[in-house]
Amino acid sequence: MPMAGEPYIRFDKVEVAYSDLVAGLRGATFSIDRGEFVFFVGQTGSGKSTLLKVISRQVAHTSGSATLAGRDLSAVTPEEVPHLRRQMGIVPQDFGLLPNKNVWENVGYALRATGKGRKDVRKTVPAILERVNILHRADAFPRELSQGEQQRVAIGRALIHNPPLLLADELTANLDPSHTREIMDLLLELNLRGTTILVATHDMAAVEHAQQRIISLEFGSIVDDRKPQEQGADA
Amino acid sequence: MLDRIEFILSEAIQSLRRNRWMTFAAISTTAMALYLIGGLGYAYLRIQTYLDKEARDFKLSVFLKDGLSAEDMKAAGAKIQTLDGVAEVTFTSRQQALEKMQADMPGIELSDLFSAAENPLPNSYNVEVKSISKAAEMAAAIKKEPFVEKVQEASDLVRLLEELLSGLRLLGILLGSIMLSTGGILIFNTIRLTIMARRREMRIMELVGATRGAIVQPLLLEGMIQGMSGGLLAGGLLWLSSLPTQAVVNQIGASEIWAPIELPRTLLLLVLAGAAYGVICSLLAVRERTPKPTGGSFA
Repeated sequence: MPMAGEPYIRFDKVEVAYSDLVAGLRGATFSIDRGEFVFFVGQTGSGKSTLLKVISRQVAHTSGSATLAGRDLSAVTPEEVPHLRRQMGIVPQDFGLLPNKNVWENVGYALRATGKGRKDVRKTVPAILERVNILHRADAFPRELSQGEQQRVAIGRALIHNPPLLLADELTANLDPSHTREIMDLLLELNLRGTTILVATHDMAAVEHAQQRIISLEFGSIVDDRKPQEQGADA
Repeated sequence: MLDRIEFILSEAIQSLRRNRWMTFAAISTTAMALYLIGGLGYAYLRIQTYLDKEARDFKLSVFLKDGLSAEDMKAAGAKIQTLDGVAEVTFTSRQQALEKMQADMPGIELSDLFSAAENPLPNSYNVEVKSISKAAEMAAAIKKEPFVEKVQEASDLVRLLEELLSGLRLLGILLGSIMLSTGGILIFNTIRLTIMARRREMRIMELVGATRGAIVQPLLLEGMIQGMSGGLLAGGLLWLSSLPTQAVVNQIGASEIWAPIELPRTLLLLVLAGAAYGVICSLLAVRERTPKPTGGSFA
């Protein structure tokens, strides 16, 4: 259990080495409190996706310390990883929707895969789709949806365990400005309800629209960390 | 629980449908492998059972030389008894042999042909063997003894069956292993294809927190269904092909050797063997192909 006042997520000199020559992160240090909305920005290969993958244990860090809710992430065993991931929602860059399943089934499938019964699926799916404002397209297949709608489904699927943390990788990479604003508004709404949101992106329009904390990365190192009020002061 | 089973089953069936040609190839090859192994195994068992029965009834007759003293004959019996594979040794005197012959031929008065002093039959020992397969070897060993006049060996039929049995054993091992390997490779490849086709689903399952068991169970079930279907098909084929075989067996009067196949038991055995085989092949494929975490290694 986290101690009172301890940050929700804490990285201390975290390094990730994919090989002797390729590094994902170089000594990343930062902390995030519960309920924060943070953007990780940087060029392709700057380490922002790796950072989210360390938190979701898709990647193991090679040195340093990373904790989530007081739990040392390096101590999480492979058997515990599924349980860890049920405490967070992950939205992959490519949405990861199953093309042969409609919107309802895509969300329902994720619930079934994590052991929920049909009854739970019938009860939970409409509530989630309603929450991300896509219930009206429940019968549509991914190919029949706009990019923004697909992204809503992916976000909805990430919310199946009602997680306190949402990780989104390049969430708005393929979206036009209006869809980007729509998705950002949705994330802000989730954040207002208490969900901690971490977004890796290089889409500065999305970042500017949301007006939240920004952590900048370059070649795996954190080069800047600005709170919203500091951005305002700079501007 | 039922919900879970239903989910795993529907995932497995969906995947089998998606790869239907590969599934067909895997099931048919497994069926042929199990059919061959089952058929040859059944023939082997039937002949083995017959030979065991023959072995129980079979006795080597060891005819002793004329002029041996009672002590020599007793020593000869003791010597035979020490040979490997001998179950029991019983002595038949010349007089007992004559009486038996008389009993076997009631229409002929043997005493009219020769007097007791002229009895041409030798003293002999009847040797019961533990295994008929050792009879020839034992006869050869006994023949070398100085007190032996002649040894009456196994019948030609028994010898023929012995040879057939070792041939069947070899054929079963050879054909069975070829077919089993082919079927195994096909099931293995079907599961590998399934894993590749399902990469997206598996990734999503991992991201939403599905356990490894939940990801792997449909794949194992898929292999088991393929193996079981192969076993079922093999059982049906075996039963069908046993019908004309049975007719031929009855015609040549060899029903003592052959007995009809018990369909329920055969099906059960082959389906169980197929299921175990399918699961083993799937386990191998799953071990090799399921996605592993990228980047650094986990503790």
